[in-house]
Amino acid sequence: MALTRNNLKTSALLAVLVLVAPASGLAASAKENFEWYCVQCHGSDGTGKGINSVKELPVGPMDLSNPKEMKKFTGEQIIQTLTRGGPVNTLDSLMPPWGNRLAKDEIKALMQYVRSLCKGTDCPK
Amino acid sequence: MIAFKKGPLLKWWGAVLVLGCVHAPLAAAGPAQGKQLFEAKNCGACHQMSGPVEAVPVAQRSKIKGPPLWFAGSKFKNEWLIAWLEKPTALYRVKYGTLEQGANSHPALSKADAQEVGAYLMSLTDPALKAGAVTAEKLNRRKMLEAEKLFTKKQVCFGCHQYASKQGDIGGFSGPSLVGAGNRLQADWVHALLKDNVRYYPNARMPVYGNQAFEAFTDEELKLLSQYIGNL
Repeated sequence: MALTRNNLKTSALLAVLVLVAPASGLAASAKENFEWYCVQCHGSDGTGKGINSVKELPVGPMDLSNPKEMKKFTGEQIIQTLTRGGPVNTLDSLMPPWGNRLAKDEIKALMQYVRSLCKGTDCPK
Repeated sequence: MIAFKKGPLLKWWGAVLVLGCVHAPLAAAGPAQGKQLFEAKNCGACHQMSGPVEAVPVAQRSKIKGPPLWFAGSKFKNEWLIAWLEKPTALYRVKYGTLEQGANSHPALSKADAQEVGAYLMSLTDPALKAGAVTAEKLNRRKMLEAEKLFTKKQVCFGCHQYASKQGDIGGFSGPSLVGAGNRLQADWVHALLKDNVRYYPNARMPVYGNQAFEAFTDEELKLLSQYIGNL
């Protein structure tokens, strides 16, 4: 089949879509992943009041909306913590590693979503 | 050919026949009858029976109504399962697949039905699971303490799972309770789960441990942890 200019454009567009589309078809948005995996401890607003935040735990889940807390970590450190768990950044092991469950790009997007939950004028970018 | 004479011998054979008839329905109770009951009661509306099941997008997971059971015979202990089917109690403090406080109601079966459905469920095993990796023996005090550290400190398992501590039942609510888990779960299956929970629950909220890039436990630790959970 000879490629005309029009169907060449269509083919190029399809090629781009194939490259952008997640391989498994399961990749979720950062908000969806946060709601499924993180809300159980951090709560939907990130303040650390999820259903698992019970008084017997060694520490409470971190308040992700608190600029004071969030300024302690660079974006790269948040990615490390999400991937390998709290101890990688001297946090408690209550924060588990999600690197075996989520893809690298999902974790990067999740870091940006976590950043967006910070409230106040002095939140890190 | 045996010739029957009227008298004690015939009476004795008669008694054997009567006993045989009385016991016939019980002898027939088994996986096939249990499967029929399971299907008649539409249990498959909530439980997936062939597996491994596929992962679905996270946004659709709260629609899943109950756990997959294609490996039930590898997971549960027979006696517990039959008793639970007769008198189900909540294993979660949230509705299945959600973070909403409460409990799903589960139909209770008659004693006879529980035995039949239990026999069917116990016949469903994971062919990939090799039994014998973890001993079901009681842990001694030193090993219990070592294992408890894995459970409460190395990874805070009770962050999501209730367990019976010295202070009483404590822990988070999003995962199934592990109070009395030793009566319910086979330690070998717990080990297989900890090594590869995606095989059994691809749609769970649980982090993945075992033979993975970001490993929190060694395999020896996973075995000890499994034995510990089998002792809870």
